[in-house]
Amino acid sequence: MHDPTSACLPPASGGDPVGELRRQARLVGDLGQRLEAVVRSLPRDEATAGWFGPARDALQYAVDRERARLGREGARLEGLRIQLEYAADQAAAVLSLPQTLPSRGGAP
Amino acid sequence: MTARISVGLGAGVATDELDRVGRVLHTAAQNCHEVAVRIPPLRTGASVGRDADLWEVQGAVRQSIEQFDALARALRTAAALYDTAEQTAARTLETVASQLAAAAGLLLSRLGIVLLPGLLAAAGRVALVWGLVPLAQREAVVAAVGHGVDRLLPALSEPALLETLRVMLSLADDAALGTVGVPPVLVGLLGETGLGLFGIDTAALAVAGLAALSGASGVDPVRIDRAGSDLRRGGETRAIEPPGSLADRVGRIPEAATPIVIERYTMPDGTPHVEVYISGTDAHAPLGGEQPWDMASNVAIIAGEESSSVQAVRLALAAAGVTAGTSIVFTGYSQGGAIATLLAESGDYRTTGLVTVGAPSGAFPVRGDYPAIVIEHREDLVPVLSGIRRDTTAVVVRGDAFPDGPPPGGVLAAHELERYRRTASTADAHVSATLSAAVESLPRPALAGERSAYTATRMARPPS
Repeated sequence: MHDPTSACLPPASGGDPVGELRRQARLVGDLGQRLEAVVRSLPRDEATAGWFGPARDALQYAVDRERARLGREGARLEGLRIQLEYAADQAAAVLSLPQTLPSRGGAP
Repeated sequence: MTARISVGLGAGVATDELDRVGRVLHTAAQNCHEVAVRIPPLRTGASVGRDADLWEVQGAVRQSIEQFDALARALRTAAALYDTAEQTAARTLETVASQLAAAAGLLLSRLGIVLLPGLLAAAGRVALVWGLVPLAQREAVVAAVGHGVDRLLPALSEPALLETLRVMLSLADDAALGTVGVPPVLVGLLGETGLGLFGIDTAALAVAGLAALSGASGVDPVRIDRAGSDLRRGGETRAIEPPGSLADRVGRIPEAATPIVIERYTMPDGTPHVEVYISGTDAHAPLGGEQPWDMASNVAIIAGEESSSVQAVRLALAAAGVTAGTSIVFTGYSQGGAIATLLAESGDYRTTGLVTVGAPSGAFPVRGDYPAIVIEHREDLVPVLSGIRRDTTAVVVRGDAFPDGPPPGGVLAAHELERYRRTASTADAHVSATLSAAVESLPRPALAGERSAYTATRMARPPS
């Protein structure tokens, strides 16, 4: 179960691009989970199975449309989270490279 | 399989379902809002592509919020409108149906006058032929008819048929007025949908009058006695905890042998409070005999008369020291539910609650400023007998008597008190703001009280 307060984390301290990207990835992942929870909570067909008529069909159509929309946006947020994790990994890899390049012609 | 429960105000529309789905959508809108407000800080400008994606997510989530809010509003409005609109529509349909019934009655009575000589002649021939049929074949015909009736009886537990019967019973008086020549338009004005001068109570009054002519009166005086063997102290009294749930209340309804149970409590503020439980009809009681909880009392109640059973409850309440200022909750089953409704609405008591199960009380309005809960089974014939439910502020709970399929035999199986206790238990667990509000509004004594049971005996009216 996701921590509902995690999306309220304070901003990371400046000067740590890797930490900042990972923090953003966590926030985006948390928002994606929230949207998934909303999608799961929406009434399914069987919740209104005892009703009938065009109003019931219209309600179910509208709810299904929002379910699809939020499902799509949840997937988009998951894609963003993966992008941010990847960017953080790349940034970490760049930072871990040797800071001094070998001098030209310095070697015997 | 669990029993399906629906809760509605007044006419019995399942407005709690509309409310429930509306609440789910409202919560979905709130949760989406939580997501939407957290997206802008994530657009840092570090990546144009990611920022654009976040824009789109935010826009889409906001669209969903608007949709959920609109749907939740629509459902709330529908729930509110259902209670008034359905009653209005039902009343309009009933007016039209009442005029049609009167027209049919008028037509049949006229046809009857024309066809009567022929019908009498035909009946005479049938009787003659019947007398000529050998005994063995006559018995075979009777057995076949009986078999056909046995096959028809289970249909009387079909909810759709029972709803139709409810309407037809409400129209019986209109057809009768038409039969005696009252014009259909006038019937609409005089009947339940118009001035209310004629209704199902009029038809029941006619039945009660016929029963009285045959010596079975449902309004004869009664005597009550405290149940129990300790006569020196005027019967037994024992300590009892206050009722804790709907199922608990239904479980306290007595058998017809001791049809009245009264529990006396003291409320936290020191004022007295009384719970009265009233039993259903004694199915084995002879019509108009010593047992006041019989069919004669049933008919008298539906006719709006002070039946022997109603008199008995009044006497028991007086014996228990109930005054016009005593807080009182009426709980009744079947005939007891009808008595409970009548007394709760009589204005003679300070009613603080009403709970009925399987009661033929549709013809009695419930307009008081107290929580009222009516529990009915969709397959139960008895509540149908009082016709269309009208003019009530009660919370109507309709449940399935047979969640696992109907049992074999027994037309009135859906009317059994034990099945109603189970349905009340399901209602206790049912999530419904309307029902919960009504249950929470019932008085809650803090301490244990005293329970007394009463028997009742009908006394034959001395010949005048």
